[in-house]
Parts: sequence; C-alpha cells; structure tokens
Amino acid sequence: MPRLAEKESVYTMMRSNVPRWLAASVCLGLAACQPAAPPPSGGGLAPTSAPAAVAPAATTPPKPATTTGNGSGPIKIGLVTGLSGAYAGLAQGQQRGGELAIQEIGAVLGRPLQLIARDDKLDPNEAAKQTQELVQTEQVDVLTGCVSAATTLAVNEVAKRAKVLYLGTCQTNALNDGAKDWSDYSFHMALTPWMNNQMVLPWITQTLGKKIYIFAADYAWGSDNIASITAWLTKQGLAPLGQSKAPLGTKDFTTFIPQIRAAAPDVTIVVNAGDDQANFLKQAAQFGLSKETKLYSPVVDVPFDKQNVQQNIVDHYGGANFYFQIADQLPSAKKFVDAYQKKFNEMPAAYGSYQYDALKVWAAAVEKAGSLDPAKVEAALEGMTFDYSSGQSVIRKCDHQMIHPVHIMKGRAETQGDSGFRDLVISIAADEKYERTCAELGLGNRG
Amino acid sequence: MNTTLIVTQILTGVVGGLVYVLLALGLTLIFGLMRVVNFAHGAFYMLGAYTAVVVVGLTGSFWIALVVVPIVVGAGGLAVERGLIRPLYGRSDYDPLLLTFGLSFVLVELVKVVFGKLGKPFSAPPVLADALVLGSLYFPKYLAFMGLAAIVVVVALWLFLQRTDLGLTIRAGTQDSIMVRALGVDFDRTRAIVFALGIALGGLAGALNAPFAGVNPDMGLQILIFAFVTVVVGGLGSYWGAVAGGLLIGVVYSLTSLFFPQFAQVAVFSLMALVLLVRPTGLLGSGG
Repeated sequence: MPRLAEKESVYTMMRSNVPRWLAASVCLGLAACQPAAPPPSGGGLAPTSAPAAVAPAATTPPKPATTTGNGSGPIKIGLVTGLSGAYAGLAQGQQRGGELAIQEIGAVLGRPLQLIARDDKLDPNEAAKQTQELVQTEQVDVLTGCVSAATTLAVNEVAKRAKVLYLGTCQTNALNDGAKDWSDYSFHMALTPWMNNQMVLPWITQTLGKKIYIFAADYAWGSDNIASITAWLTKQGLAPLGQSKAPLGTKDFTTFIPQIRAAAPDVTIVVNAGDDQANFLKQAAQFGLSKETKLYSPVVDVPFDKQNVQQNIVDHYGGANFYFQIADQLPSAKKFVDAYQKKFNEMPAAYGSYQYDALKVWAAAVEKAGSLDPAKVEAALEGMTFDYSSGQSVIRKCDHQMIHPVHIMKGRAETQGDSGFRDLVISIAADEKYERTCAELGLGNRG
Repeated sequence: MNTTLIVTQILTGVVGGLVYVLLALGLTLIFGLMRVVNFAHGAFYMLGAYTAVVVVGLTGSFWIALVVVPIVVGAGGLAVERGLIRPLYGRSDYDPLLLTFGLSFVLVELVKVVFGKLGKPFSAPPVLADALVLGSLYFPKYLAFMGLAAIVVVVALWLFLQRTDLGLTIRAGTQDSIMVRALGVDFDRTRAIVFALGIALGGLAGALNAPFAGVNPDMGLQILIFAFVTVVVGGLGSYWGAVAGGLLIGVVYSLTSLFFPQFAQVAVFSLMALVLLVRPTGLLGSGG
C-alpha cells in the first residue's frame, strides 16, 4: 500500500502502464481532432495544387438530353458548395447571391430557373458524389459554386466528363492551366491568386513601401501567393525581405510576430483568411506590429471582419473582388447591395457577388446563344463583358478566365453600425495583362 | 538572430506553456482521483471562452468575466459529473473516456447552433491592449497579465491541495480511494468537487486565452492535444510535472517556430516520444 506521507508521489496512483495508455489517447485525439476543413478558396484563395479530385470516372453517363435545351419545365442550376463545415458562412452568402440572381433573371428562353443547392462538406469525394447526382438524377443544365479549391477540382472533373457547363466561383491557378485541369466546359468566375497579386503589387510598392515581408498560411494557397508575389518583386529587382509560414488554423501567432518585427519591413503581406486572419490582426495589434508596418492581405471579406474587433482592423489593407462599401463609387454594386439587403436583411459578401455575377452572365449568354447547348453557350460566354455587381469584367476567350477588378479596402478607424468596417482606397481596373498569357498556360492554340 | 528576438520568443513560449499548464492540471487532477481521461476538457475550455463573451456582452467587464467563468463552467462540470460520469464509476476505464469524447462533440455542435459556426470578436481590455516596451523588447501587456494570472492560479491551487482538509482528502483519494472511503470520507462529494474544479480550470484557461487566441467553436481541439502532451511529458499525476511539462512544451514550440517554423508541432510530439522512450513516467512522474 502506498504511504500517504510520501510527498513526491502523493498525487499519483499511477501504474507504470498508464502514461503509455494516455499517450495512446493523445494519438486518438490527434486523429479525431485534425482540422477537418481543407482550405477555403475564392477571391484568389485557392491552392494551385489542391488534393487531386477523386471523380468516379467510369460511371459518368453521357450528357442528359435536357441539356440541349429542348426540354420544358424549369432550367435546373446545380450549386455545389461547402454549406456545412468551416466555411459555411461563406457558402451561405454564395447561395444567397445565386438566389438573388435567379429571382432577378426570372426566366431564360421563356423557362423559369430552379436553383438546386448541394452541400459538398468541403470534401472532394462528397463534391464529386453530389455533382454526379445533380447530373444524373436532377439532370441539371449547368453547374456552379464552390468555396474550396479541392472541391472545385472535383466538380470540374465530373462536369468535364458529363459535358455539362461549370461556372466555378472560386479559383485555382490549376483550372485555367492547359497542362493541369483545363476543361472546355468550365469557366473561372473568380480571380486567380496570380492575377490578384500582380494587380495590387505596383500599388503596394508605390504607396505602402518597397521592403516587403510575406507571412502566409502554410498550405498550397499560401505557397501560391508567396510564389506569385516573389515572382513580381524579382522582376522589379526587389527581393522580399523575408517570409514565414504558420500552419493553417494557427491560433497563436506570438512566435511569428516578433520575427516579422525584427525584419522591420515597410509592408507585411498577410496571406490568410477567416479565423487565422482575425487572430493574426488581433495579436499584431497587441504586439504593436500594426503600428510599425503596413499590413496588407490579398483577401479580405465581410465575414472575416465580423469576427474581429474594429480596433484590430484599423489601417489594415486588403484586396477584394467585392466589398459592399464599393457601392458608394460603383452604381452596379449599389444596385446589388440594395437588392441583396432587401431580400436577406444583411450585407452581401465577396462570394455572393461572384455567384451573382456568374449566373447573370450565364443567363445573358444562354439568351444570346438562343439555346442551352453547352457548345453554343460556351461560344457566347467567351469574350463577354459585364458589370453586374463589382466592376467592369470580361471572360477571356482562350482560357475562360474572368478578368476582374480588385478593390483595395482599408480598415476604418470607427465602425458605422454593425458592418461599416472598411473604406475603398482604390479600384484597380481589370486587365488581362495581369494574368498569365494563354501561351504561358499552354492554351496558346485557343488564342 | 538577435538576443531580443530570442528573449521575446522564450517569454511568449512561457506564457503559452502556462495555458497548457492550467489545462493539464485539470486533466491530471481529474484523472488522478477519478481515473477519467477527460476528452471533453477542450470543449469546456471553449465553453469558458464563450461564457466570457456572454458575460462581457452583459456587463462590459472582462474582469467580472474572469470571476464568473470558472464558477459557471465549474457548475457545468458538476452537472456533467452528477448526470453522466457518476453512473460509469466502477466500469471500464474506457467508458468515461468514450463518454467525454462524445460529449465534446455535443458541446461543440451546441455552441455552433447557439452562437454560429464563425468565431466571435473578443479583445483584451483597453488597459492591456498594447505592448510593454523595455528597451528593444516589445511584449504585449495582455500576455504578461495572462502569464501572471496563470502563475497565481497554479500557486493558489497548490496551496489549496497542501493546506486545506479538502486538499488532503483529494491527495489521499488519489493515493488510495478505498482506504479513504473506509475512513468514512464522503468520496462521491470529493469526486464531484475535483471534477468541477478541473473543469473550472479549463474554463478559466479558455477565458484567459480568448482575448489573445480568439473565440470559435473549434478552439478546444488543438489545445487539448497539447494539454495531453503536457500531462504525458510532465508525468501523469505530478503537479509540478504538469507545470514543468507545460513550460517546456511552450518554449520548445516557440523556439522551434523561430528557427524552423514548419517543425514546431513536430518538435513537440518528438519531445513527447522521446520522454516516453527514455522516461516513461514523465519528467517528474513517480517511478511506478
């Protein structure tokens, strides 16, 4: 029997096998508690080398007859996105953007529209399964949606085999790459990380400073941004001052912030999103980093800012394909914001705008083609210009990439109500010179 | 690589480690007395942060929240012990483990239903919002406060266990619960109190860390693993082992992330593996 007076072991009734048993518990916890969600994407949030999509190739049927446009009844639009999981808030905004577009469009070719939303749970296999079902059972006429790069590749794959048009509303550098996941049937209705960075860097280096430090979330999208930022800087003869990466889902940036301070950059480009971005900005403020360096993030969005306290966003710069405060400058955005607010009683966010634009331009193309035949709609979409909610844009013919403006937003000193977080600093007009050329993408023959 | 940077990293590592210590002490107390591996500890940590959000929303004061959170979350722990854990005493050690594992999912999902899936804004009180400047050394005031608060709790808990009758009963029960019961102690009450105390520590850790690490439903997942690692490295059942383990892990993590950021987590788990190989009872665990 153990003796109570034995101080050293007084807290323990340990048998020697217990630590190992507990270690096994740790391992169980590790397996069970891995952050379940793959990275978000969209607005340039997507990794180029996301996990390869797993699409059951052999079972994909030929294109259903209804897609030729001879059917009657509603035209079906399949929306596959991460309605549950870490980015559910973003996906809900996307679905609402789609719903608003459909309500405004009313009918196409004299037929009403029906939006069928499916949850991909941010899982490529689930996305492939849901897409398959939309194509086979629902016989949808067009596919759209996505907040995760991994799932957009899966949907792309199924759509390609089923010969159904896919309007992807998040982007990877891989989807418009001829050597990678290129498909005739897919359109890329979001900025690529490459373009997103090339557009803003001239402004950043002229206005904020030339000594740049890059801090990124450690996954494909982060690496992608580092690569495209470094490529541009190198071309100008400016090397980045330094770079570091923190694991996706990092809560505590205390070990990274002092390193950034030590490098003393003019500008720190903070490549992360959601909780990671909110926490980084909060801790940067506590360390005084926000006062010493300008902070810029390639992607800012309303849901991220809502998770933060305004004092941490003050003077934080960020790029956005859409942010509701551009409505002050841009009539199309004003119209979109007003309609969205009236319908849903909240401010629209970037994913809602992408989705709204995608369906609007698709509807215009179908009317122009006079048919739902994918080849005819594809031809109509190529080269189409539009401005539905976020600025003058064009769909580049050779790679189906949407060439879109970037709006640089800066955190306000004080909020106005629940969601007055940022002011528009400058809008950088869309220009295809910022994207890789189609020759570089291996699509030169489609010129 | 200058000295200031290394000193800052060590300090941040120490403070981060102290949060692991608070969680690990709760785990080790509960396991020591009740033989329950509490997988819901991370969920209670998260509940502590959300309770703080609610209390700050109602009262506007972070300081009130720091007092209220351990009471509210500890009461929740008490209810869980009474309702869910007590029926499992005397059964396999794995039953409470599986129960708390399931409970953690229920709690996380409940919070998602009530507060939404996205995180909640939460900041340090204005008086602690900026950084201390000591020459070239910058250190967030809030982190300094958090470190001091954790040290106060660790010392107070130690004194409680050493100096009070209840503390004596807890220590005795950890040694030999049958003998304690034979001596006529109301052991059910002791177990309930220890569980509530451990959970209250977890909740307090969540509230303390919230102004720094943020508030969201999944915040308890990763930190729970680090807390388990702390327990294993320090030596299960050893009070100062948990403290030493937490500090060591905090500093190893922060220094590795300074020199080799991508290996920071690997270093922590490697440390655990090394300890298990060389000293299976942990740094300060009893020889067994």
